[in-house]
Amino acid sequence: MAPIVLHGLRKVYPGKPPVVALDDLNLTVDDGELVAFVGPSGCGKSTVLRCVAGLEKLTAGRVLIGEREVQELPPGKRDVAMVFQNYALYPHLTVYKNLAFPLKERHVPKAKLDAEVRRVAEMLELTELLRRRPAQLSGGQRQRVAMGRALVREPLAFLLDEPLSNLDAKLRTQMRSEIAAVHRRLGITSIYVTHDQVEAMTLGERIVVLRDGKLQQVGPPAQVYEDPVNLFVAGFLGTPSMNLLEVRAERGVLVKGPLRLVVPGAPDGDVVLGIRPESLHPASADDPGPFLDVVVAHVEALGNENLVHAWVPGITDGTTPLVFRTTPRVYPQAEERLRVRVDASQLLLFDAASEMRILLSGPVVPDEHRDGQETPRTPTRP
Amino acid sequence: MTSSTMLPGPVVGPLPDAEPGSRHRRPSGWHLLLIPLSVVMMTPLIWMVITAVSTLEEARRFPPGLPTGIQWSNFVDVWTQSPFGLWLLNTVIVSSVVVVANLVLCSLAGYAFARIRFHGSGIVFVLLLATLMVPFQVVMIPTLLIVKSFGLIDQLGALIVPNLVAVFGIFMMRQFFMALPPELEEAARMDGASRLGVFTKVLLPLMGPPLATLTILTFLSIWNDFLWPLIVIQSPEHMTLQLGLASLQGSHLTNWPFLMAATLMSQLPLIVLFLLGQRLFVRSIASSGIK
Repeated sequence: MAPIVLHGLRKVYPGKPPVVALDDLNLTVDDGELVAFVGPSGCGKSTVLRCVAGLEKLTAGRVLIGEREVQELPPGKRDVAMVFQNYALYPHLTVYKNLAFPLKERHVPKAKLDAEVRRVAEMLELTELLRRRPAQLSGGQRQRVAMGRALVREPLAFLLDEPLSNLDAKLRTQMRSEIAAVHRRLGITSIYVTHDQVEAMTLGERIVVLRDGKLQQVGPPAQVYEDPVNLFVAGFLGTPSMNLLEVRAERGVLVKGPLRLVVPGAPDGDVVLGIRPESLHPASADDPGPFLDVVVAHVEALGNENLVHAWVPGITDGTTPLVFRTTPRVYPQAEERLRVRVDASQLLLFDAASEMRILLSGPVVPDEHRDGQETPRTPTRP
Repeated sequence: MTSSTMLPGPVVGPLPDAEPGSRHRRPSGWHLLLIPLSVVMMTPLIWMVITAVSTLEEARRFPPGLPTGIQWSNFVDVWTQSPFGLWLLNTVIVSSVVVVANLVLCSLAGYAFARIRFHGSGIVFVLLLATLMVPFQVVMIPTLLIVKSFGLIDQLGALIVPNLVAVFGIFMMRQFFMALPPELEEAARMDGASRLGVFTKVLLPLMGPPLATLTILTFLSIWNDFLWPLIVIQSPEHMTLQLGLASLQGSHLTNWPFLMAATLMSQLPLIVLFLLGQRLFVRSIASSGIK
């Protein structure tokens, strides 16, 4: 096991125009840490992995695994193992021979090879499948064989490129737990690439958000979620994603239609107000403000909760609705008017031009000049 | 609306016209065309077999009919009264060397064109493909001059060297490698295999179907080649089967049962090879390790 240091990684694919896949990426993955790279398609997360693995040649920058600079070494000499999105199992070899392949290439003595293969097979519950070929395995079993092939030679670092994306939802949850358990047990430094933010948030000790080859934010999942540095990170993390309202700040007060909030420290000008769906709640009579009066567009009943899509007269249009959660019992109808309470302490503000987060000097409170309104009844499902 | 939303319910079980496992198919209009075509295709072969076991008189009879008995002696005569064994040996040597060379060189070249980035690879490949459009008659004389400069005229080498690698084979193998997921090779490289190791340990075992196809096509083309051997081979001891068979035709009289028995025997290896290779066509394991 060893730390991985990425220093000034740059990868440009030639073309007209050239495509910059990675741009000055700096990061240290600590010894034994699991870092999850997350971002939309084409953001460069898989390129990072392939550059660390040696499958892509860097345009500039250095990669250190442990004490060694490895950017000029071929993949086989870097002592890292990789799990591919499509598993890349050798179809003509049995599970046993797939697991043994990396050891055979390293000329490990036969007795030790056999012991290692059987140890890993037992750990991943593959012992019964050792004589089968990949075509005779289920998706989850193939995934475990791919993991086993990576683990069998005890690499310094472990690279996982969307290893669960080909599995169904139930199996994905199960395999996620297995990967977490294997990592806890072995403590191998790991880089995990995914476009699934749930995987990133649940598996990563830290997550790295990438956009267009540039690192946006690094930190523990909860911190990145609660404290996004810019509009992209705020909008990317979270399901449903953060509600973003373009508003105007004047002398520390946000104004848009009926919405008026005191935001201490906000600069004058156009800003974007970020409200997480969980910061909006159907209001009750004794709730303090601030409130938003919304008109329900439609409701998605998910069983354990309802997602309400609504528009706010004078603030949002029909194309960018406000989304918030309710309990299954609260089931408003389309076109129904509803008052929701905004958890002001959770509001985030971003500069509309630079998209960077604006840090406020005090709590957000409703503007006193706002007219009070009667709280309508919150509809419930019979 | 998508088509799936128009279905009244999930489709369960096989469709009536395509029962899995059933070898019986309903007659269709195509059979009216295909059955006569099959008869047309099979007639020369059947006639060849009938003539090969007939007497000379029966073979020359008009209208043709079935022989009164089977003349196995025709096959014995071919072996004893002509250098058939030598022609067969020459053909086997030439075909085998050319097939092995094509399998090795075409697969390596196809791999290089599919996977290794080098300057001008696209242009070189297009130029190679362009040569497929040049008829053999155009390059016949230049090839003869080159072979002559090598001192190979009237040698088996003259039949081997110009056919060591075929553009079509390169093209076919390149297409195979292009369709193969690159992750297989990347995984092997991560596991410590060299590029040659990747080729021999991972790719080669997956190349059964394209190599079988290339084997059959190359073998057929070399085995049945007549024009090029006719140009470069003069002495009877270097003749291939096709040249030898042609030499059995007299200008005034041809012993047709003798010639057809020799022809039938010359075709048997091809039929055996095709039947063996046919199994590999349907065995495709290249993608079974990939989700």
